[in-house]
This record gives sequence, C-alpha cells and structure tokens, in this order.
Amino acid sequence: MIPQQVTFVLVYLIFSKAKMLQSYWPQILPFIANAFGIFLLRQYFLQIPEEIIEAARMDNASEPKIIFSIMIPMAKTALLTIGLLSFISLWNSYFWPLIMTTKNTYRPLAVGVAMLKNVDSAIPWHMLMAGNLFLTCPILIAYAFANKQIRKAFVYSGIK
Amino acid sequence: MTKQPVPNKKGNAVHTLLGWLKGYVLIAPAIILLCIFTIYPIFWQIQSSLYDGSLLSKKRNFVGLQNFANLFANPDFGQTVGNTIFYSVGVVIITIVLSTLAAVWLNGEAQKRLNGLTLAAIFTPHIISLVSVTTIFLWLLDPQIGAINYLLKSVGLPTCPFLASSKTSMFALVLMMVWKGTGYYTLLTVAALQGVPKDIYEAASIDDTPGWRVFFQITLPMISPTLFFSTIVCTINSFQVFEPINLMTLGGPANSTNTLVYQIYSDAFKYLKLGQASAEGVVLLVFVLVLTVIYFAFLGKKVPLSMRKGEGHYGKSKYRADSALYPQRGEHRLQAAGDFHCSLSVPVDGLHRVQTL
Repeated sequence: MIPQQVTFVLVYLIFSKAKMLQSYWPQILPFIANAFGIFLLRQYFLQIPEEIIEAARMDNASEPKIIFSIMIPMAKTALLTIGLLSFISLWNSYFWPLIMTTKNTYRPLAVGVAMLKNVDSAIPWHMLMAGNLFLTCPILIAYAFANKQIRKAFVYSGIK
Repeated sequence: MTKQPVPNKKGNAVHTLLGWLKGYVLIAPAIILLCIFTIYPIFWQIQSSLYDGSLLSKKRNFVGLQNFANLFANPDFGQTVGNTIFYSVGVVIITIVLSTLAAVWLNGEAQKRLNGLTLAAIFTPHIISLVSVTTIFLWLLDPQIGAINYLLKSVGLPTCPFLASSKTSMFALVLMMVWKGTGYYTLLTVAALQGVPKDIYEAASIDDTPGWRVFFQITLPMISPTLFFSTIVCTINSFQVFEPINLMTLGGPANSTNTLVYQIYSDAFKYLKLGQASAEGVVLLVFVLVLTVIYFAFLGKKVPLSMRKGEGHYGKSKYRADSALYPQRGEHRLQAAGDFHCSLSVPVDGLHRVQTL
C-alpha cells in the first residue's frame, strides 16, 4: 500500500541511472507488477474446484495447458476487471508521465493537454477544451457501453 | 473448503522440488518488479535523506539528520504539512458523510429506476482524468469569467475569489476533489449496504425501532468496515494530492495550497535539492505508514463485536451466529468462511433460522 507519490524521486533516479529516461519504459515497467491484480486473480483461482484440476491431471494435461485452458478462462471476469481499472488509471494518469518524461516524444495525451495551458499567459480556452474532449471521450464512450462492468470493477478495487 | 494435497504419482523428491520451484518461478517476475520499483526506493529514500547534494551531483556527503532539522526549522514546511492535513481532513470528512448519505438514499426502494442512473452519473467524475477536471474547475472558479461567480452575481450574492485568494484557495480545491471522489465511495457504500442481511431490518421492524435508530444502530455498524476502509483509503489518497496543485495553483497564492507531494516535486525537480526532497519523502512515508498500520490493526476487528460469532444482543434483538458475519466482504469472503448461517432470535415471533449468501 505504499503509493508511488512517496518514492517517485528515487524511481526517477533509478531510470536516470539506467539511462532509460529517453524511452517509454519508465511509464511501463513500474505498472507491470500489479499487487491488486495478483490478489484478485488469486481469489478467483482459489474458487476453482480442485476436482477440475485433478481431472485434467488424470488426463495427462500439462501444467501450462491447465493454466491456459482451465484457470485463465475461469478467471475471465477478474482479468476484465484488472484490464478496465488499469486502462482507466493509466489513460488518465498525469503525475507519473509528467515526472518520467523530458521530451514531448514520450509524453502521453494527458500531459500534452495540460501543457496547452502553459503556452502563454492568457489561457487558450478553446484549444484546452478541444484537447480535453480528446482526453475524456474514450473513457466516456467506454463508460456508456460498459458502465455496469466498470462500476463492478471499481467495487472490487474497494474490497482489498 | 480445505485444500487437499495433490496426490503425487511419482512421489519422488525431484518431483516435489519441481512443484515447489514452479510456484516461485511464476511469481518471480512480479516480485522482482515490486522489489525494484517499490521496496528498494523506500530504503534508498531513507538513506538519501541523510545525505546532502543535488539531483545532479555525483558525490554526496553524509549529513545525518541535518535535512530533517532544516525542514522542521522552516515555517514554510510547517505550513505545507498543515495545508496537507487541512486538505485531507476536509476532503475525507465531507466525502465520507456525503457518500454515506447518498448511498443510503440510493439504496432505497422508492425510486429504483432513477437510482441506477443517479449512481452512474455521480460516479462519472471518478473516471475522468484530473487534467480535465481541473480545466473545467479553473473555468468554473475563475473570478472574472467563471460560471459560479456569474451565478452568484446574477442572484445578487457577493462573489468569491476562490483560487485567487489565500483564504479560499484550499477550500476550493477541497470542494473540487469532493465532487470528484464522492461517487466512488458512494459506489462502495451501496455495495456494502446491499450485503447487509435483510433479516436484521425485519427484526428491527418487528420491534418497531424508529428510523434514526435503525440507521445508527444497524445500518452504520453493518457498513462500518466499508466506511473504515473508505476513510483510510481516502486519507492516504488525499495525502498524496499533487495534480490539482500543479495544474491550478502551483502552491500559491502565498504558499496557501502547497502540499507535501508538490513540495517534494518542486524541491527535487525545480530546485534540485535531492537530500531535502528525500527527507520530505520520508515524512510523507511516515504519515502513510501510520495510516496503513492503523488500517491493518483494525482489519481483524472489522465487524462490530456484537455481530461476531457467538451469542449476543443486537439492539433489542437477541441473535446467535454460528459463524462470524462478514456482510461487507462480498461473495469472496463469505465463500472462504464456509457455509454462512445466521440465526436471529427475535423476541416477538421466536426463532428465525436464515441462511444468507
């Protein structure tokens, strides 16, 4: 439960020492391991009856086959939940990419839209609003089509 | 259901070792990444807070607790911590109270159709990027062209400078973040309310318990684990507030909206004071750790004592629970706890035996 806002300076130094700041990696690597995702999937795997797995072992199914044809299909809901939550939070994120990027080449949309404001002293409202439309549209469209799933995913995020 | 050990056909030591290794190989990538990007930076941060030097310097000198001494001697840092606490307390109290009230209302039967729509609507701000939220609020709160002041003026009320004054700036940020966060906590609380066994309410209605007592003596205790979780998570999140400050106020006016994370960011990346930024990071770490420890210390006591396994009184009703009630934990915990029986003995019509899942 230690948030990234506590240690970001040192994580920046890690990437700086590894000469990775001029790449997308600082925005990707820290988010690959997702403790909440591991927890949720484990909960799902624990619910799969042991008999099914044993039956597969009796039929000489290999371990990877058991994982890919039994465990993962049965945890589809959990995978969808993790996918939705990760997508929404990463698409919206501003703090992390702001710190981990020094060049526009690697900056995501949220940072770019926020930078529209800094062009000169007067705020170019028309540009800013147009940029924000691009930023919010994908999320709102996804929410319009899958609002039940998205809300369910966020309820799961609260049962840590 | 207890896990049966898998019968091992060959039963030799090599096979067992492979089976044991397999698990570790599968979790290794995740654990390695967590160690590099979560565990290691924490220790490095603590070490780094004991050295001077800038973000660019090659060699840094050990200065002991000097960085911390500088911080606590600086009244601006005191104000920054005060701002962060003011912001967090404000956001947490208003958000939790509003979301609890909204959830209780949305859980009612009377306006069922409308409830889904309302919940969908008040949840929307939570999934919108803070970049967009702050843009909209910059426009709404603008002292000259802002819609809120326009409305205030048109009904003859005095206008408010919002972000332009050090007296109101933090309060404006609190209101914005309450608007953004309430939907999420309402959603969690609605889910918790749906997990409260209906029988308890039936027992209360047989006893003719007045509405406010039902709320304070049944509803609130039953959802208290979720409220507790919400409060802790909301507090931890509020302590890390950064985006609204960087996007709206840059810590001003007159340091009135400077918060811990924004201070760390400006010290590290604007003034390149690595040692001082690390020391501030350690202060934030202590705050977060204390909250986390409180959370886990109470985790075991999630359910009010009267609802635990065994016999007891619940308001006027007597009850006997064969296993502990975990109404807030959703289906997962219930299944893990095995069959879920709850017997509720009600003085008026004798013993109900109910099974809830």
